Amino acid sequence: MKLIEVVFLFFSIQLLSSALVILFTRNVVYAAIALMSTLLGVAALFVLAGSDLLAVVQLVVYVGGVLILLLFGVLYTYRDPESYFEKKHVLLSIVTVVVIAAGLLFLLSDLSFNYPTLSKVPSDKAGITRAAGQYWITSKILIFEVVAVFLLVVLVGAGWIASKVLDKSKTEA
Amino acid sequence: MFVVLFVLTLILLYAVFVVWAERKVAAFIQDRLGPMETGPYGMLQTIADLLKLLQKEDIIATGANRFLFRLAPVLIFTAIFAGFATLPFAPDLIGSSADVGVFFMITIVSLDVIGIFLAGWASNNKFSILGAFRAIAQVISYEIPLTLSILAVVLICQTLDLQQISFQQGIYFVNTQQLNTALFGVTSWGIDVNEIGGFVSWNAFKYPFLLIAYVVFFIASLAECNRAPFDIPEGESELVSGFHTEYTGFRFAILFLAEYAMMLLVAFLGVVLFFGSWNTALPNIGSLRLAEWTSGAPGTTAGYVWGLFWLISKGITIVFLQLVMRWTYPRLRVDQLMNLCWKILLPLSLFLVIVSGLWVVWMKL
Repeated sequence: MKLIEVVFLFFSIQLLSSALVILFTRNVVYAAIALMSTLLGVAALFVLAGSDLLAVVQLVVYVGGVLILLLFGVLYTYRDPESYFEKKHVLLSIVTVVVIAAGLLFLLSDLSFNYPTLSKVPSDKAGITRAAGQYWITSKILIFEVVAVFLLVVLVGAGWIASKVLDKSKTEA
Repeated sequence: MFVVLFVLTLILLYAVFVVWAERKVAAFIQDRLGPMETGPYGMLQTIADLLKLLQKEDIIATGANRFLFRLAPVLIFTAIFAGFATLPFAPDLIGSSADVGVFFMITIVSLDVIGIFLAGWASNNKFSILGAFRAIAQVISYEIPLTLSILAVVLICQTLDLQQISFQQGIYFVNTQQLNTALFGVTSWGIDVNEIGGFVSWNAFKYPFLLIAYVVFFIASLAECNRAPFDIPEGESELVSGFHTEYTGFRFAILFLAEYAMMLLVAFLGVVLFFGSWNTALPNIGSLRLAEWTSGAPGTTAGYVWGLFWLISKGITIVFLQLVMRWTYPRLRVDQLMNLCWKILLPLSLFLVIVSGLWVVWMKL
């Protein structure tokens, strides 16, 4: 067994086992931590597949963004961590899961995976980051700009709402 | 592997030194003597404190969630330690030369928020949870101006690789990127900053508006490490000591170490981005080749020694500045903190990103 396979197996097992923890735990904070472990595992697999950029984006968007937002939600609605899960819509959930799993398996069965070679030099030296940047800024410029403007609007809007709230609380006091 | 051991040793030695330095700085600012009894000028005080700390009983409160309580310090320290991976220490000394360098660093360091959340939540203590609240709100807010001020540098340097950014600020730069290396971007003067070297080729001098970006970066980085005047997550006069109220002994030591390691990391990052990284501070003046005398070619022993010397001495200077800040300014209130971030730093950093964009377009060769 080559070293890269050992590494791949390690991260796969870590990813799958923490995904199972999300499914079976009844404590929402445990689920969030297991989610973090899963997302880190996915990032590690991206690095193994030779895309450092995608791995870091995965960390920024999911671990640094979505997960922290989720934890913040848990903090604000602080109550018994086990009361978040209620057994409702069991049939509907089972159907959804089976459909999505079948679809994913169908898509994945078409792909063939090769282990990349391990080396001391990061595989991204080939310039995936650079190529991706140029691709976004030339072929996909419209989508890129729309998203950028949207995010800017969100930022300015957040500042505007914050200033409104502060003014209001001042006049009330 | 060497870099891992090197960084760990560096952090431990630095922590012992800086805790003593902080007490001395505080003492001198408040017109006291500080620790004087243990060793010359009290220099062994931290070692004595550490020995005491390691012998302490490891207490986990009855109501705490034992598993998450134990996990939190590990998570916080790992996140910050991983941030050192893409930091260049000398021309050839870097943990990982990945292309995404600085992007990876700010991402992985932001994960310590999850550790802070866990520490606060698992302690099952209202002071801890309030501290965690404040820490998360503060860190995710200040990440935006921090990232934007870094983006201003990245736009100009046209690379995310911190080693590449370091080379651009010294005499060993090989211009393969078609960058404008003239002084202040004015090519008609015919002065190539990379030939002069020293502080002239530092980003903060070459592009003077980046000094403002550094001010934004410095303020935001203080908030990121929960340092005074942004230490409201700990605020000992309000919250006992925030998210680490319940921690004792070795676990507390790890949390403390992580906080000081974070200070060192952001100081290093600021030096790499704005103040010439491992490059010398002395320029070549005519036949006085000060820059060449005080730096070594990449790959040679002199290169390592001078690189480490310059980076660490600049980093320690910034850390000293952080210490002085802590004992000079009073703590901000929560609303003042958010005001500063969203109404002053955020517009300023957005403006700086626009200025760097314009600079890149106008000053290109």
